[in-house]
Amino acid sequence: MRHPVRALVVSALVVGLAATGCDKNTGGTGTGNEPEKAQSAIVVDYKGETPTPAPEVEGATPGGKLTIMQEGDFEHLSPQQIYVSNALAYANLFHRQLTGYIEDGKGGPLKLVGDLATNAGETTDNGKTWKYTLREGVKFEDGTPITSKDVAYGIAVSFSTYGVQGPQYLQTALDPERAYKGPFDSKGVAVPGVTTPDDKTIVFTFATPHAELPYLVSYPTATPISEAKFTKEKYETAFQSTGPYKIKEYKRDAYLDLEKNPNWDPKSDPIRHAYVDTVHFDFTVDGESETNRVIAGQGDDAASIMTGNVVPAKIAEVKGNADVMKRTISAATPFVRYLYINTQRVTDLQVRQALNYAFDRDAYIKAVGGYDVAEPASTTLAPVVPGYKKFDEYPGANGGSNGDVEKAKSLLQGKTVPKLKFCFANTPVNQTVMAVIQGSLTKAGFTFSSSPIDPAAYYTTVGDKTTDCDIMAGGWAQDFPDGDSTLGVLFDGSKIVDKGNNNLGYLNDAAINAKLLELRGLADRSQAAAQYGDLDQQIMKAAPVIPLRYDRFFSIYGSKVGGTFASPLWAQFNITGIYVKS
Amino acid sequence: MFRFAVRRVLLAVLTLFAISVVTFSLFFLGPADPASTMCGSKLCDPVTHARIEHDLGMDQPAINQYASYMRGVFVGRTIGSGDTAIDCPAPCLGVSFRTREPVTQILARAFPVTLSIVTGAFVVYLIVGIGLGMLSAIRRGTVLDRVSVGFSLSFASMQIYFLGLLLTYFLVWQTGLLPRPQYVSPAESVGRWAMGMLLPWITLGLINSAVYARLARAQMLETLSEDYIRTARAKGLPIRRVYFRHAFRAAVTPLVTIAGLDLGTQLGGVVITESTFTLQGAGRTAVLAIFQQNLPIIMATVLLAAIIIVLMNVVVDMLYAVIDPRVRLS
Repeated sequence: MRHPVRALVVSALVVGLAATGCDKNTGGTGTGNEPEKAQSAIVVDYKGETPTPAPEVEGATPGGKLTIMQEGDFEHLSPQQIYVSNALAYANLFHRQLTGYIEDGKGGPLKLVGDLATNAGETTDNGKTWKYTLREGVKFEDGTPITSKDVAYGIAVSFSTYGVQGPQYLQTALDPERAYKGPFDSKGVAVPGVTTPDDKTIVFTFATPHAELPYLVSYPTATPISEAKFTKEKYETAFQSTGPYKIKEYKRDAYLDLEKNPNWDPKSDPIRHAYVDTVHFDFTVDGESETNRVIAGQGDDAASIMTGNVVPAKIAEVKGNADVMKRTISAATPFVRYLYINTQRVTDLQVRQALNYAFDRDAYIKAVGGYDVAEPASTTLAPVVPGYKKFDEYPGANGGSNGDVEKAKSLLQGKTVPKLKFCFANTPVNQTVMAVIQGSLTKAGFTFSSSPIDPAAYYTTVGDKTTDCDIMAGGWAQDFPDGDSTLGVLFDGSKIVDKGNNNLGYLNDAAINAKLLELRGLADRSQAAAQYGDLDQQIMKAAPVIPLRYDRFFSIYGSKVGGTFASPLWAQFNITGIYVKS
Repeated sequence: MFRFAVRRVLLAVLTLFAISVVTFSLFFLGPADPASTMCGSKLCDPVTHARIEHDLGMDQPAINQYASYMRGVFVGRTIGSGDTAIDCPAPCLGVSFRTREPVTQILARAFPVTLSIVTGAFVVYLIVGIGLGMLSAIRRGTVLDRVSVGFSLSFASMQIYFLGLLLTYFLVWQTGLLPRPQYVSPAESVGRWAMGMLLPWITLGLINSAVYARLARAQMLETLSEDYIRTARAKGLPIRRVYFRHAFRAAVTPLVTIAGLDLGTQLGGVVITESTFTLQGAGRTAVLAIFQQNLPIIMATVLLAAIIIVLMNVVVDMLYAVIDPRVRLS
């Protein structure tokens, strides 16, 4: 998934670096994540044992208006186009898919369950064929029952122009050659690999096993669309809801008002509640005004949530206000930043290890805004990835976080390391931060030639296998909560191609490739999850990256908001059980 | 006067044509790769990339793309082909790369916001700035003059994002005296529109009025030292008539030029003011489009700004000719 693209925030011109130091969430609802708690497991409900309706949220009261403040409008709400984290989080209010997630604010395991379908998927041939059966009582907002043909049509749309900006995993799995162009350009042709034997059943058939399918059909790619009601571009602002809320009024770039969908049946939904009467998205804010408004909590703002982090300039003020801190949530997110070390060029393992030892994490975290918005990273998996294992292969001297320059120097003894070409996307933040990183590595004797690259061309340049960059800045967030969505993308040498690589360390280790393949083949993803932590450690021993930081969610909710917590999946507030205190 | 007007308009059309060619070349033929930024996958596979480029019409020769774009501006066009084609009526400025929404619709939402900010602030800085400058010149050396000069120096040296954030902090968040800035269509409620725009008006108005006060004072002082003013006063004309009938008209002429050009520039998008107060006007829309490499929106906002500035130049030239007959003669 992607971070939202933000407009220029003028207040960024006047922000200072925030004070540092860890804090602990003491969320008013008592359900906030604590920084040290990580999402370490996933339960995939293949058997359909999750109860409906979803269990009541303790203390929840119905009614009221929830305001969600967001800087700028959603890029897309037409389901097959949704891929940005905030839209993925809030589309839960009105779009349903075959499967979905139940997040636990108390640190329990993440659950992947059947949403429109009765379970997370049934396979009898290790993932080559998957069957889903729709629940009883699932309807579009106009009262029309949702059929498997509507789901198939939604997937067909995802192959077309109206799905090109959404995730492409399901489409590529179904049609690796991408010959099918969707229901408009490939008129009369069925979606490859998708059949609907009856109105309740949809079957996916693949040439090779796809154990990850239950995750892929949790994306809005698998949101049903009624062919008769699909209005192409207009669907962005006038879609048929399948969830608990539907559009009341949508004024692009200004606001989106949702009201309850009378044709949503809670008995058909194991994930969502609809406690509040109306939801108001306000798109006319920026980070500064979001923070100010939620802190002040005047009028409707008392029942509001932010979608962005508290701006750095306000962190000290927030931390100094005990009342506000009670409704502040600080939690891990799926976003991790790295420096990839090009193993094709920096072939000496000890040099790569020395780079890791020399990196001053403390100086770096302070440079990017402090420990409230970032946490030093030592793994390639984010703490929210199921199977995450906490370890540090390259600890700082005396257990500190300023690196171990002496250790790095000893590893480099007797070696002549040429000047390393250090590539990064040329953004104002990177210009500052990369200088800090280079400063710390220089202490161990490394020398660099900086190569800032136009952000628009950055990934094309460094994703070219023949790149002459030795070190490349980058980041990643899992697309679905499975170790393979990070390790299988970033470190699988068998996937290296001439251009368009995600494996920017160009690591091609036979043992790691084999282990990835083995884990990918496990049909039960709950079992597979546990093994990715060890594999992460094995990868870090080969040092194809310097993990820089885990981004943190540091945000405030209004004093009248209850039943929310940080979503480990989307780095947003979880809104499936949110309510307004009466 | 007619020939003068025709000459100016023709020059304006030529200028706009040149701007459209240069802008189009810069944005559409430059190194930007919007298909990659739009691609759903984190790194776009070549098939999808080619598909997006085709959808955007970026696989066509540049000259065809330009011709098609300009045809759309005047007669409208159909973007894409087959069942996924979009009908874009004139003046068609393309469709957003992101949402496939016609750019004219996006600008139709954003421009009233900019127009509201700029016209309100324009009134504030003309009245306050010119008024203060004139008074200051007439009362040269008095306390009023010194206060006026101090005002000019203070506000002229301030930045919008500083004064705007400061005023917002005190007037909105600390004291609650003003509502937070927001745009409400005047068609919906004139009162809420005016209240929502008050802070941007005050901020932009104060900063610009400081400049106008200085200019107006200098112009008025210069005019007041002219021989014809001395003659008018010697003739025994009432002092009020000398100031407002004779001096003011002459002093205001250069200010009209500056005000007209300022207005034109600002109508193209007051990026900093819009960003400071989080108002989704043309400037902020353009900035977001730049972040997204949304070329049709960037192109349209640049063209819009150019059209307004060129038009304001024509208007200023005409107005100048009306105010000062010597211009017509030349």
